[in-house]
Amino acid sequence: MTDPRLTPEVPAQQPVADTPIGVVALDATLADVGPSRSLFEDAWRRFRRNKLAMFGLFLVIFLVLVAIIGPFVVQSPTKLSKTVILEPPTNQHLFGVDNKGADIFARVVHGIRLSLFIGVMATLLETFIGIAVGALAGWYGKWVDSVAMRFVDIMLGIPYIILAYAFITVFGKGVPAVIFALAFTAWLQTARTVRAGFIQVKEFEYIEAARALGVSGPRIMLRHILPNVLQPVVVLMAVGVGSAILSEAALSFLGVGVKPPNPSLGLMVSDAQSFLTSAPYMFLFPGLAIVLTVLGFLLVGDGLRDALDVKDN
Amino acid sequence: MGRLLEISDLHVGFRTEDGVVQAVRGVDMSIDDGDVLAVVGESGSGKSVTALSVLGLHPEGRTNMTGRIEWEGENLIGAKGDRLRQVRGGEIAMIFQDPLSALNPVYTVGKQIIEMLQSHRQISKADAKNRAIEMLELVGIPQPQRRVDNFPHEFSGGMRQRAMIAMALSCDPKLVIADEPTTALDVTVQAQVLELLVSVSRQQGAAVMLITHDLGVVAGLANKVAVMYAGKVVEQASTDELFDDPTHPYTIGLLRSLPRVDADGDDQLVPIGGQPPSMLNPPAGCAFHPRCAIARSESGCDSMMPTLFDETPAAIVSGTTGPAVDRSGHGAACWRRDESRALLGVVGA
Amino acid sequence: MAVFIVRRLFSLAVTLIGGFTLLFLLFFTLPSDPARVISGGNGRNPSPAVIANTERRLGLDKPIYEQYWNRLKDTVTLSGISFQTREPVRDMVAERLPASLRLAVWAMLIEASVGVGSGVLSARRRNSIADTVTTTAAVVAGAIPVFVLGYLLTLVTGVYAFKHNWPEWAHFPTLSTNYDADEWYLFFIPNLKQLELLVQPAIILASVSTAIVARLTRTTMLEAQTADHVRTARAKGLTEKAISRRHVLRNALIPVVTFIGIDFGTLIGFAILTETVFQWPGLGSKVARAAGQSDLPVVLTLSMVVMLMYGLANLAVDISYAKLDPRIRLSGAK
Repeated sequence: MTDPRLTPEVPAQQPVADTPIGVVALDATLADVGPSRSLFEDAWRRFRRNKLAMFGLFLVIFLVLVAIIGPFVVQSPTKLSKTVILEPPTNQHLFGVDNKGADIFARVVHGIRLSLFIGVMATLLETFIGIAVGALAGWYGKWVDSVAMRFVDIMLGIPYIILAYAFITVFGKGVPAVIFALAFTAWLQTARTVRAGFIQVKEFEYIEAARALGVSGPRIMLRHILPNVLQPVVVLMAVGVGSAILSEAALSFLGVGVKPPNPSLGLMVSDAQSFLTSAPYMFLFPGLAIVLTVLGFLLVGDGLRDALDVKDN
Repeated sequence: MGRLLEISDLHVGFRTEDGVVQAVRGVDMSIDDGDVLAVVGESGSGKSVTALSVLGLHPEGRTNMTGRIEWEGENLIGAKGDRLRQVRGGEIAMIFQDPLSALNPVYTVGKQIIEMLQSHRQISKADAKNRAIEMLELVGIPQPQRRVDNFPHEFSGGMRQRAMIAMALSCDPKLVIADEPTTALDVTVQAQVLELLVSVSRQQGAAVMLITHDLGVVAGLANKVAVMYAGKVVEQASTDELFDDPTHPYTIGLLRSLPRVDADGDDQLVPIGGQPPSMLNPPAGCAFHPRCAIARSESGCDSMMPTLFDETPAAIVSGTTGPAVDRSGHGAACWRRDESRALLGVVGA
Repeated sequence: MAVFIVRRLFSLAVTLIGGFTLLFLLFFTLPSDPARVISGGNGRNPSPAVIANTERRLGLDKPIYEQYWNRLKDTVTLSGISFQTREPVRDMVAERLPASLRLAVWAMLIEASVGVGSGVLSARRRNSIADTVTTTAAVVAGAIPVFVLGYLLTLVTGVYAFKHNWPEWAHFPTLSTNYDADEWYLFFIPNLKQLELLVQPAIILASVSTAIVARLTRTTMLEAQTADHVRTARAKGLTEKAISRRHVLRNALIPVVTFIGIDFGTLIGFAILTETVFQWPGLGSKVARAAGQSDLPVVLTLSMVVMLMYGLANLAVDISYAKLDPRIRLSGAK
């Protein structure tokens, strides 16, 4: 029976010359620390393991494909059949026909495309504005900050729908107006987050060092601080697209969004109101499309948040 | 001299996504009535883990703990919930490193002491509060009747830790385990608080197990020392013996890196080269061998794990373990324990 | 404390005036001329004479700063008159504010009980089936637009129930023009008929908030469970129940309660979608319609009322926050 204190890998002792092994073996231990990873690889690994997040990613990719390829495959969303209206799903009309004679499937596909387009554009715009305002407020501080934040507070205090209404009435209805309206209400959150990030990072020593060396303000902002703040912003963007799509649907539903006969999913739900009993498919399919689209982005956003969260375990 | 606590062959491993981290790899330790045992080691040596093991405070799902922690005749590892709860606070109390995070910020200090008293004794709230005030006074907190209703953040760091000490002693425990109690404090109050801890504990009749990374504080306060490295105790001795007659190369290295009041002005502080090992994949044999100046293969340093009291590798292999050894004496886990002092140039006794 | 409240009220007033101004400007700088909209009605193109007449009648021909002042005065004293219907705004507020409040309170109750309950459950049984189900449900609920969920619910309870002859108590009226303000006790307790009316919109309005609260509670609970002071509590020999109640839950609920409080203000203002789907006579739907018609007095006054509620809710939250978390000092240092 071998003594358990004999570590397993080594066979019985061989007499060796009397050599000190201490110093030579030093470096060996450092290699034992474990596989080193960059931040992105680490985050991606964690994201990949999150089942919900991967599902969300799959949804998003699927929907993007639908949006890109779909319009070439289906008929025009505004083409009205002269022969049928209000028909439940058939082989010819996968989702059925609505009360005006349009193919619901085609409208849904185009609707997804429109939603994605509006969502992404609005989010890009709001992120840009948000970063600009947040960075300026966070970096320069003092009165710039106070004014900016007071403005943000005021805007936040106004019920969002009313603000959206106001913007729509300024810009009129239609897709560009919706994009602007969504962007101008959504940048507030981004601005706050970016500002907080700037305030935090501003204090870090290496920033002070850069300052001491005479690097200019904007340069420090861009090169050093922004990359650090990027993490929460990326999450906000992903969630933001989902949120924008949701808002667009809501606005269109209320009649102040996209103009008919544009195929907005929200509009479709609104149109389906009176036909809830007789033709539930008019409501169900666009509704489902909205849910899946928003869900995809929200899941991805959540997954990103968890994956990029450094402080754990 | 009663033996209070005996830890035998303690192994603690944590399951992580990268594998099992063996934080404690076979530790023996004992505490007697009236002892102040200092457990010294670097970060990652397993000293805190050992301390937390006594009361079973490791996260349940991910911990593998085996061995024997004997208290009042029973093994605390595997003790039933009710018994463990009785021991916690009532017989063995614990003090943690950062009093600000260790105390609940939304309750007053008094309430937190009262809560502890009421879970171990049948005692009215009023009586408990009085006892709490008594204890606060005992640890030197001025105006205890007022401070008992203060929140943790209203105390200064040193006062906060004193309050924790008061709380720990409130139920008359027989042993106080202090996990690096002064590391989070201002340097200027560290000595004060430590001395208070030891004196008040002894006054109340409790032994102390003091976890620290600072060998310097040990000298005036502890009567026994256990030096830990990479999850094992590498040397144990009475304080005097350790300082006069250090045997393990790690201990010798530690002492050499300490500034000493009585040192020659020309003596250099010698840090120990290298880094502590990864506990995911510890070195074979003696964990210290990669950094040890006198380690060599033919002594078994890189292949066999030495223990505190055993004889040479040859004796182990041949099955003879030599005469019965007194395990409460001065032990050092080094294959070259008989030559280390000479080889490393240790002068004295 | 009193100083704090006064200062915050002042700050609130400034914010309200700022919001008022912003809205006023927005509605004023529009290509859409209120006078034209009002005299034109449904897309008819009114003659310039008619428009001019309308302008004079409604005071829209006066210089902007005078209009601003008039509107401001009217709003603060609740004496405005709707451009469209000539109905006093005060009556609208009196009629619709209670309805909005009731809906919001009930939604908040649902949000608090279901949200916190499921969040705590999730955290206690982390990674179990119950946890996965609740978390997934919460995420999905946050993705479903309120109006989709609303119609879905009506589809099920109204249409489906009728078609398949479900028992009487499962029938919920789909069109609720039956709201009767007098049938409520103690302001917030509905009688049976009103309850039928209330259930669906309350659940729908609460849906998104409940989802958020559930996830927030789960997160804060998980954090609280691994906090250092929990380890200390365990080392003191407390029972798991006591630890869970006094040291985990109590601490975890602080951010949650804060959120619910702030969300209350949101519920009042953002209920517009729910109100539209269920035709609940609250402030939201009224404002929306008025905004579409450029009915300035209505829009401005009702918006101010909503903003005031929102601001007061925030203030209440801030005050109670100091009670909940002793680390917070009311001096305004956040």
